[in-house]
Amino acid sequence: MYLVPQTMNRFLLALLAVVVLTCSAGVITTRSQGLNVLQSAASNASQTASKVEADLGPNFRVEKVPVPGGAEIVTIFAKRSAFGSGETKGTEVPLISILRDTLGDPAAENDRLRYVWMLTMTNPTAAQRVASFVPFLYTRIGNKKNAGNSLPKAVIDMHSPEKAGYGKLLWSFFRGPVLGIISRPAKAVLAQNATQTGDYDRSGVAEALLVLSQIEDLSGEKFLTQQELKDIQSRLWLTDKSFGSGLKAENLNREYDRETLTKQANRGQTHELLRRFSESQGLYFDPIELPDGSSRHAIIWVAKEDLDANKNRNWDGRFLNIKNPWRDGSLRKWQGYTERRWYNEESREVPANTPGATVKTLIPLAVYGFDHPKIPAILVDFRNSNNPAFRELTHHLVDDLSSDFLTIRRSQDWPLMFAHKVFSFVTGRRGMDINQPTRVRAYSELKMMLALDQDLAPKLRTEMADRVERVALNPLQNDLDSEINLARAQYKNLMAWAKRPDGLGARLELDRRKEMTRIANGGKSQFGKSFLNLVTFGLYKGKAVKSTPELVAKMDIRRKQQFHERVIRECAYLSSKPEIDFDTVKLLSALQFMSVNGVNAGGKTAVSLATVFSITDDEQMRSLALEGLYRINKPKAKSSLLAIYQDPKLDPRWKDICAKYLKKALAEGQEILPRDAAAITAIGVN
Amino acid sequence: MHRIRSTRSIFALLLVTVLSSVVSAQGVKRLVMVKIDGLPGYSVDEFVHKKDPQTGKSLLPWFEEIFYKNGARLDNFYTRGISLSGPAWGMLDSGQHMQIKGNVEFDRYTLFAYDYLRFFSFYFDSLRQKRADMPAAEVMDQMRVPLFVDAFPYPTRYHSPQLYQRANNWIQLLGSSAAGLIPKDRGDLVDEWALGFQYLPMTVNQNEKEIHERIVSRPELDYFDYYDTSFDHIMHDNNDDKSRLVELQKIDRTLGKFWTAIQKSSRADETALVIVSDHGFNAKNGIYSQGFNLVNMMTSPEGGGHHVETKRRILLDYSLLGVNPMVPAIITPSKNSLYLKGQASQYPTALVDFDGNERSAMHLRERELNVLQMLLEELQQKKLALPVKTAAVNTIFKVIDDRRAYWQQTVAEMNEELAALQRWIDVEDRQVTAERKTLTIADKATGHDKEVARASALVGNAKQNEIEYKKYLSTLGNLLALQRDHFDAKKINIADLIAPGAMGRQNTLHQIQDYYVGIKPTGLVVGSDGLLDMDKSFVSVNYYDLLHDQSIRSNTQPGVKNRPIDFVAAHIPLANFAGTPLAETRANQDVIWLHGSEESQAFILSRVDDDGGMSYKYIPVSGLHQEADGKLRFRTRDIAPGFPLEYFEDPNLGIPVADRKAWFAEWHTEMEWLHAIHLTHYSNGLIGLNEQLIHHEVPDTFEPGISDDQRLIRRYRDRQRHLVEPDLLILANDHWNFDIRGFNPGGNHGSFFRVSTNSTFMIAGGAKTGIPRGLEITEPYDSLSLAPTLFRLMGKIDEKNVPDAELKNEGYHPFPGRTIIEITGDKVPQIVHN
Repeated sequence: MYLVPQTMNRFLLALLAVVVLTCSAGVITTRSQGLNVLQSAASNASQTASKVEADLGPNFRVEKVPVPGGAEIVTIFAKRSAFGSGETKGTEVPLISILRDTLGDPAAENDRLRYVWMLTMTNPTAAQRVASFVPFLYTRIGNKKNAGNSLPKAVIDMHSPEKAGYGKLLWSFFRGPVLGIISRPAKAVLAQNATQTGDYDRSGVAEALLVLSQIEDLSGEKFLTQQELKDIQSRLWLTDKSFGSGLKAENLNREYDRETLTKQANRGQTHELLRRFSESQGLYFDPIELPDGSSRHAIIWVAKEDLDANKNRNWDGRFLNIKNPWRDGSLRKWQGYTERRWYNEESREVPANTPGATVKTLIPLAVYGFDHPKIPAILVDFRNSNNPAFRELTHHLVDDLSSDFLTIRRSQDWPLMFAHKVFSFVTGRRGMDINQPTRVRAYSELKMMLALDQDLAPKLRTEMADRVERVALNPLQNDLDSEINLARAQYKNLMAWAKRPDGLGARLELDRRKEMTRIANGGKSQFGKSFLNLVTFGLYKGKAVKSTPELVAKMDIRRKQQFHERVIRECAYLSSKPEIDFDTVKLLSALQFMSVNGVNAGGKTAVSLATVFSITDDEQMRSLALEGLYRINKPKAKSSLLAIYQDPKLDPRWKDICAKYLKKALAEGQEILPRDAAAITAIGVN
Repeated sequence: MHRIRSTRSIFALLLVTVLSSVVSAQGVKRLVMVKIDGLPGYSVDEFVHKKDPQTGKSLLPWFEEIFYKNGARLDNFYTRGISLSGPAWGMLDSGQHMQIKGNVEFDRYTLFAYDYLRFFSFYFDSLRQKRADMPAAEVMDQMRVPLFVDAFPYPTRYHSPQLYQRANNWIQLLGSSAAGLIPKDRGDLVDEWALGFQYLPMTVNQNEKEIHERIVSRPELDYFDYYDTSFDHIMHDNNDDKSRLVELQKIDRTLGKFWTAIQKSSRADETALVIVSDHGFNAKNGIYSQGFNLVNMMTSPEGGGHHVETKRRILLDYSLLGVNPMVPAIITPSKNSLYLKGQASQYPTALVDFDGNERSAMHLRERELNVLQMLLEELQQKKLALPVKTAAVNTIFKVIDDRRAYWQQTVAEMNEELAALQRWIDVEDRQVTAERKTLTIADKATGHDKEVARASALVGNAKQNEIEYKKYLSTLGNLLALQRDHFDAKKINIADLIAPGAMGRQNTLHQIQDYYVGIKPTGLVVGSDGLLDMDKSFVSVNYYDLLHDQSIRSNTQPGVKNRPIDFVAAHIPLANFAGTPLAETRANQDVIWLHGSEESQAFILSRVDDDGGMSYKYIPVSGLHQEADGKLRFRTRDIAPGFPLEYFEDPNLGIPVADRKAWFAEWHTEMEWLHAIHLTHYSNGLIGLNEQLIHHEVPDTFEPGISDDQRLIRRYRDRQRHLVEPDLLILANDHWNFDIRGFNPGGNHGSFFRVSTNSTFMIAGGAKTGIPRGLEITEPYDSLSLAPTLFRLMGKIDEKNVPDAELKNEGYHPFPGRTIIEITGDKVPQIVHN
């Protein structure tokens, strides 16, 4: 009797939280801010006359559409002889749109990539949204049939990626210590939504990455520089890493290189593992090629003619995770999809009826994804659709049951944490295809692959798509045909919104004002405001300053400064002598900028300038580096300048210049550490 | 007067000429060696010539700046022998012929595994001061082959962790490396966390940092070597140009750091920067390298149901025990063994080393040991009919009698050698114990403590080997002591006669073509001679045919064959060719036989010429079989396309098509061969196969008057090298590999393909080094050329590759390789000496 009111209170509290969260759905999850508001878009989405477009090989097209207010949207389209069926039939589908804020000028240094919209992703219907809150509801509940006026979801805001990181951190704090204390059921409800939304967002990221990877190495006009393509991919990869969202720009290329190498290695290893194990079990391995010639999935087939010959064959299903085909009676009377293929004496597939070739009737057994580290993830089992679904489910069940329903916190329960570690170690070492958090990505890639593929037999493609949908466990997801439909509709809505005076231009203006606010506040209060925005679930929005020509000019300078700081920091990290191994034009431009406008540059830039001074023999670069150190009003800048001055091997000419700058900085009252100030004063004495 | 002046002038001119050549050849006083595992020269060249579209600079700007503009580079530098790190670094690091022939070697008598990649246990032993060097360096010490690094006294060198590693303070290195993970700018800490701290390469990064600093700050150091395996590791996983470029650019930046440090140092004028790699890499964009499991083949019924020992865990990353860093020997038992079920741990009958992965070395237990064990088990376990029993016993004694002389000789010789070894152990042991007690802090600075640890390790190894060999010899003794009259199988403990964990003598060609793996289900059959009818009694496997017949079902990649195995190589004693047409040739070394298929085979004949150089002849044959009595049967074929190594049909063979038939009919010197074949698909494979499969004795030059014990110990060391020679060297087809520790889809090496053997050698130096600038050398050279070229540049060997007194004193022998005269400035090309 005593417990009931307390439980009721907790439940009511939790319910309140649910309401608030529902209202601000998307804030506590990793999705980026804004652009989720329904917009009444004009139905006519005819594009402006100044749109430019270019073909990127036979499979893609790219277009660039200007946006009023000084921006442009770059959209990537996939081309195919036919997409979808029925209403969705067409020859191309828009996949990704990217907003680049150019401030309306041709200079590249002040351009900023902003939103990356995955056009197949959308805001859920009311039913989908409600279903996403229901604990243990792991199933799709239907598609969003009509995009209406909705805009696509942005998978990332390239300008403020750290916001998504703050959201993640806040949620992990809220989910455990806070929500767990309030109410167990509320926690289960909210956690379910967070998980489903997070997975949905991750699937969007995976689809976006797949598309970008396909166009990256194509030659031709992409309307995106290689560096921009790398940056977008790096930022998207980082959405899945703790503390990744705030990675500094100068480190993005390192992230890109590491991920490229790791992912390529994972794919190759899994590809080879699957080939070797299917071969050893007497099956046929058949990788599915993407437009760029790579493969991330494979079909495993069995030859009907081999069934009887192998009925007593030993079966080792490790890694394949399917039922023994040699003892499966259903395969002997298989009515499903089959293909007849001809093989020559080199075991290579050849055209039908090639003389001397052997014909085999192949039955598809399963489709696997290569993107998991270490193991091929089964995505489609043609004999048992529940097989991959169950494996997908284990991941959710393990996490949801333990942390949200039973509210077990592993960090506080050492035996459980140990048991979990042992479980993870054993399943990981044994390569067991369960509890795989990366399966979401593999599904999304498979769906996108099916959308892009031109080679699969239509019937097989349809069958695969159907089975993939049957395995989908996320109520927020839509099927492939619906996504194609939604992408087209949302693209039209986006273009219409971009043209409206109160549309994208207004949004852009608001974003710029926020940027100016940060500049006006010296960047100091921004973290606090972001934090307040998050803890109030988006209710606190802060006040953005009004745009003035002076602030716009400052914003222009700040953007250019950030651009050039990245160049200088990268140079300091990578170069041994810029004249030999760096882009000297870019570096000189950055140094020149810093020497004139570097006053607000960071301490790391100052240290980097000192490094540039030490590694180059170029007189101009050295002069500019010293001038930049003088210009940057940070204690580190003067410390670095002083250290250069104090180098006993330094040429007297440079020593004089350093001394001059140091004394000048001291006289101007720049920020200098007391001990450095004393040393600089001593220079005067000498 | 005039004549005197004229004579003086001539003499002065001569003196100037000699001196100038000496000066130019003696200019290198300081060396910075960058050793990169698996870096192909052609990959470097390709990316050096590609420009960054934005900057217009080379994608590898430091390679271009240092070696293309300011140094010399070799377009055609090859590993000699298989393209595998253990053997390849051995030749580069010593300048001598190949002593170590795999990353792992097994002693046939004891199954002692020489694991040359055993870093972790080396560090563990080194921490306990039980060991100073990596196993490969220890073997070289046993063989009295000094390494290049040994030419520099301990206090004057910086030596990174590597395969042929001498003493290294790894604890200090590890500590500094861990501290180095923390970025200079604390604001980057979160970024480093997000990027994932680079734990694996942290010691390599620390080496790079220390070398970079010390080149400037420690002018007393004369030798630096930096060793990095990252490129090799990445290329095993990734086959794409993007990954390759990422890794190449890392190396390029390292070179930039070292080069700029050298320029800042006080010894820039006399310093040379060298980049060298041990082999190339067969990685092609868009093609995955496919793996074939030889262990599965050997454990299968078709393969003979062997229990197979490897030194690498199969599917390491998927094994719970794979976390054990001590790398124990792994035995994969076979469920299909016909006579050793449940005895896998005692009696593995096949040893497989698949490192490098485009090749595998395989040992099979001596066939007759199988026969003895099968018959002893039959006699012990089954009630055989008397005639069968009698025939079985007769057969046992026939087998023993056939081997009696060999076994007796082995036992006698090895007992002599082990006695000498024991005397050496006694002396050394006392000395090591005494020296350990007197070690001072000063000894650490001079490296004397490492010398003591080194001696201690050699004594320890000798003691362990001695015990194990004695166990094996005792079984031979027991076999020799068996008497027909008193023979009762049931009273015999089989392990007393058939040494557990021993492979016995190397199999002959005949034994491998007719290898007994079990008794037929029909049982033993008595022959007309009172012995068992071996063909009717035993299940046998022809391993050459078995290997050739392996194929796969799904062949999805263009350009990749469905057969994983290209050919199998073995050496056949020259004496076996008595009575064949080949006996008339002038070969004076064992013959290398290549088996592609029954129809496609070849012999490589070799001889040491009167001038010390090598000559070879390639003879296409088919149908080689060896009879039980050792006689060889084969058909000599006309040269035509389709024979192993495919030189004849290769468009890049340096012989005009019309002249090829005649050319192949003759003997040619090594230089003639190298010039003709190095650009072909199999490149210098013919020379490499000879290097790999022929036994190389260490010359005893400069050491006349050694004691009897020393001579016996040298014989013993030579025997040990013989005992690690495998029965089969299996070569993979293009884009195939034998890796089963994991998956190497990116690419592999180990073969004789040019992509895998073409490695990197570039050098640049300061004004006084005499190293040419902007020189591209197209003349082909191989691994044996590195050490003599560097020593020649340092003025430590003469134009005949004979070491100076200082090097001789350190135990260096004359170097068999050609110095690279384009770099040293010597005028006369040398003969390659055996």
